[in-house]
Amino acid sequence: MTADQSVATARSDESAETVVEVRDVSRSFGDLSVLEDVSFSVEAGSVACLVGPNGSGKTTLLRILAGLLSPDDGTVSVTGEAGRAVGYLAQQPVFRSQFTVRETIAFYGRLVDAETDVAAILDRVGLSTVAGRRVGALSGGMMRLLGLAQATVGDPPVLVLDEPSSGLDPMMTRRITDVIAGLRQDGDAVLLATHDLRSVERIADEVLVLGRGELVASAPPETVLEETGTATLEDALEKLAGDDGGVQAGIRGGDAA
Amino acid sequence: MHVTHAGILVGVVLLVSATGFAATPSGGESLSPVPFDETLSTGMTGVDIQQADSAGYVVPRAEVFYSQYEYVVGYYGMDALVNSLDAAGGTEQFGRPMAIFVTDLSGTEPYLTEEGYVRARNSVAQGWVRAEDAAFVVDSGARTPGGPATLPFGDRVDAERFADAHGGEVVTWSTVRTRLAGGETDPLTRLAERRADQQQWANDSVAGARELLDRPTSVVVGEDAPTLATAVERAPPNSTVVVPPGTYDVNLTIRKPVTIAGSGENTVLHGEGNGTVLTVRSPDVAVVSLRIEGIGDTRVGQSAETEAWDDRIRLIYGRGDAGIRLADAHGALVQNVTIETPANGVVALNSTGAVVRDSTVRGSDRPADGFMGVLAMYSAMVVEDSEFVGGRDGVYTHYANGIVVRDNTMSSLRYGVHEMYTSDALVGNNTVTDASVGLIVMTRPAGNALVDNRVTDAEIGISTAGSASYAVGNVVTDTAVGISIGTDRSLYARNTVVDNGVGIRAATLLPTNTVVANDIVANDRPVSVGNRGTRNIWATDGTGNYWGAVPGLDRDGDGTVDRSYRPDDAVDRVAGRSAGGYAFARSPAVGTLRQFQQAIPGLRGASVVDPAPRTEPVRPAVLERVRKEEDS
Amino acid sequence: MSSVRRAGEVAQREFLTVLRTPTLLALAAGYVFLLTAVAWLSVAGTYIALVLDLLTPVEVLVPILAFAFGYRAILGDRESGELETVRTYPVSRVSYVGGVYLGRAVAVLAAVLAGLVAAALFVPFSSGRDLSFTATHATVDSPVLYLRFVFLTAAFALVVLALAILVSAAARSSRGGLALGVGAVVALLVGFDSAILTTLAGGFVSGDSLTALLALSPNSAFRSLVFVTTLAPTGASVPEGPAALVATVGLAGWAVVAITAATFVVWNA
Repeated sequence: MTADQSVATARSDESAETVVEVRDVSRSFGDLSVLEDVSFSVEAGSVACLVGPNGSGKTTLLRILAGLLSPDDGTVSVTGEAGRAVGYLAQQPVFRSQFTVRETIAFYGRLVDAETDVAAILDRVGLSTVAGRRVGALSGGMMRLLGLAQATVGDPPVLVLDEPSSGLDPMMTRRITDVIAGLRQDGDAVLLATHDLRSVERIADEVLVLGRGELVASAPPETVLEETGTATLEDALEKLAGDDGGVQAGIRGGDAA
Repeated sequence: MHVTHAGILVGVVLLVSATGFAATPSGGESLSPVPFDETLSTGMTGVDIQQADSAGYVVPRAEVFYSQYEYVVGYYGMDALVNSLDAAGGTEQFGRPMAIFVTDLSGTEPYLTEEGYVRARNSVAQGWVRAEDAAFVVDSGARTPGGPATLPFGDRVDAERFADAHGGEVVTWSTVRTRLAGGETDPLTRLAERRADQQQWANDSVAGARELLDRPTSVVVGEDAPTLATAVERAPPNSTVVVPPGTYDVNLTIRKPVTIAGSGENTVLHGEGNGTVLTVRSPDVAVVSLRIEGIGDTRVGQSAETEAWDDRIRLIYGRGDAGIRLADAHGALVQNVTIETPANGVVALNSTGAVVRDSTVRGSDRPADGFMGVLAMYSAMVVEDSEFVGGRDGVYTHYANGIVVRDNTMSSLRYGVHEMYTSDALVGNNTVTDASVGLIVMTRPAGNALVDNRVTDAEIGISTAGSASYAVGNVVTDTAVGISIGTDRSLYARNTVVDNGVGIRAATLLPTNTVVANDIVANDRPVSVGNRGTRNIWATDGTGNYWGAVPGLDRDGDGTVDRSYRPDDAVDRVAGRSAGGYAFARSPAVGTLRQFQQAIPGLRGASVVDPAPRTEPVRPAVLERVRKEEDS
Repeated sequence: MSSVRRAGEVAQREFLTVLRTPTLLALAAGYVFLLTAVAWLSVAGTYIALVLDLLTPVEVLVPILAFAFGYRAILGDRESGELETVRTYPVSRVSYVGGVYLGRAVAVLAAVLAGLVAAALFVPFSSGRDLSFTATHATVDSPVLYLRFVFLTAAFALVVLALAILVSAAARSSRGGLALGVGAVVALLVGFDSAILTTLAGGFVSGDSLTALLALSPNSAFRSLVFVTTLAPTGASVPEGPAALVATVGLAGWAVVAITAATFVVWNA
């Protein structure tokens, strides 16, 4: 299936529930305010792409969602069953080089309460063939895939992925995109930060545009294009978060709360 | 590998090691006495003990298990026990006593002989009791061959019964400890005093014997009598029989106090190879200025089954052929006599006060083919200014307590002076060369003094045994082992030990000797220690021995190096000889290791420590002379 | 219960990491070799003498070994970013720090014990009796005393490892971790005792409080415990040190405080 079709499928799911609810989140490091009153939500079975220039606070926001940072203000609520609520892929995931791919996933699998099908997880990201290889011998792309596999351990309802495909060759990027699509298919909410706007167009149900720590747009891609009157997301982003972040009135997607 | 499995393994090892806290290392409660002859025993002399054993006298004994000494120490007599427990440095060397067992006389029905010796009617019942549980009878008049005895009983009732019958007082162990403490006067002080007395006694003996030279001439052989035998027969007591130059066939027994005077080497008494040439069976006989040859080659007598424990030695050794045999010849004199012998030169039996002087005994070329130059048995006699060449031993003593052997030279033989069962001997200023052992003391005697002797070119220079002895002022060179210490509670001082394979060998298991103020220089190894686990500390009152150049400095100028020296230690041994070794000996690593080792003395490997090595020789002139001789 | 299980999983990961790090294995082998060499060279033939011979090497080598095994445990995860990954799992700080400590402890103890066991093997084989006809007794030398030493050394290793884990949890960079680790080892070996010495020399403390003060230095507390429990029963006059109880409290205190602190600083709850 194509990305467009899958987007359509997700949208047609009217009963989708909100699994991530971010309300008025602010966070600063010392005097530097990184996030200011950020609010949005993500539904189950959807992909939300967090875009914005470097230093706009994407990683901070993701880390707050992953529970690695706590907000100074505001609330983050993640609805999930018992077990692991949020799967997280760091920007440059590294794992202990002394272990094999299989051992690494197995270790994380044993940290969650549910049974983990290590083979299935590796199969999903396409690492089955290198399951016995030492992590130290993996290529950068494979390491990223391993990180992605790790993020799915314990079937968390929410996945937070920090630039899952940056710096990867097109084939790897494609594979990662496919995995993300698959996750959405399974009903997971995926929130990912990326600079790759073309893939955003393909997979995003919702685009969250961060500029200077503020959420300047939160809507489906086509809405963003529509509202900004641009042809590409690139242009839209330029308009929304460019220059000195001349933020206009926020764009809010229709059914997003 | 799973962490759990490794964890279990580690846990098991930890659990096992934790049992170390549950178990108490043997505190002595679990110790039980061992057969006494398996202990390292001390106290009383070997002779006294032999005597007591053969006569069936009871000698109270003790066994002590020391915390840091793996051998059980046995004591003859409570005095030896108490003195050893109180000895300074005792705990440092042996640790604390974990268990003390003493003879339990309860049930043995002991009684006293007329002389005060203790006999047991039921000696089988004799056992052991812990000292703290025993009752002791003191001041009862009971004695051993070694002196007054304190008798331990396991049952106080038995002790009281004995005290009622034989007098004395019943006391506890702690009282015994305080009562007997210090009762034994310092053996070395005693020895030093005795030595002067002994020299005087020897001088008096010699002076007395020399008066025999002044006897009037009564008979001249060849003029007044045809043979020496008839001459002696005709001579009245206390007169002189003159033997002019010539060779006389003689196998004669002299039974009256006469002086036989030859005219030197030209007067030859010849035994034609049969037995002993002259047998003297009278006190105050003098044999002077002659030469004896043709002695029989029977070196030993026949063995016989007899009662006395030393009969075997007396009969076997004392019945060999000799140039002159003195029997009950108190005060006899042998002077200026040359004896060529395949067996003994002079044999003296029960001849206290006899003197052999200015004489020469030439024995066999091979020690195995000959016997003794002077064989002294039961005779406190004087052997002086004589020369012994070849044969087995120069002077052999058997139970010759108090003998004085001085100013002699011995060469090309097995032992220069050989002491057996002989206490209180004075061996002084003798020179021994080319011998297996220069001076050797065997068995377990006490109070022997080896003073100012010179031994060179031997396998062992001086070999000691027994206790409360004294080796002072000797010079030992060119031996495989200079001085081999086998004594306990003895003094080794002012000896000069140069150019030997091993300077001093500490062969004793009980490290209770005092080794100070010796010059031990230029030996391949200064010291070797024979037995594991003994720690010998060789210094008193802050001064030790001179070892040549040793690591360390004398910062305070008190004449001793600030750092202790371990002559048997691999590092210190090379330190005296190489600059690198010297430097290494000062390494902090070596120092640190040592400090820890010193935390627990007595448990270390066999070792000798001189905590205060001297910077200057004790006898520089002697050392310089000896070294000059060695160089030439 | 699941938190215990998770700690176990973390421990297993740490243990395997050590097993698969050649540098650490070489270090452990070197340590075992050194102890064996000391035992072989001493050839004292008694357990108590061996304890003395090993005391100083152990005091120096065990902290080095424990820090080498421990100081990168958490720091490594933090630097690689994997610590953040771990944090997205339902693992509490106690489980994580506890697990790291457990896993590394098993590895450190395995090495420490292997060295001590190997060294002890020389004792029965080195003691040729000089006199077979003479009765000997065990003196107070006994494997029991050596076992105590082994146990105390293991405990000491655990205390030092706890400090290493604290350093590992507190350090934010390799360089910082190394500096902290080296600093801690030097402090253990020299620093604490020097400080005590200074206060003593300055007349600030009396002899009585010195015993308590000595318990503050893990090395001194360990040494005192060895003296009190293995040397004192032999009747040797040992240097005065803190009583066994004070020293035990001192050592346990260091371990508990270090691990607790590590739990607090590893990440913000």
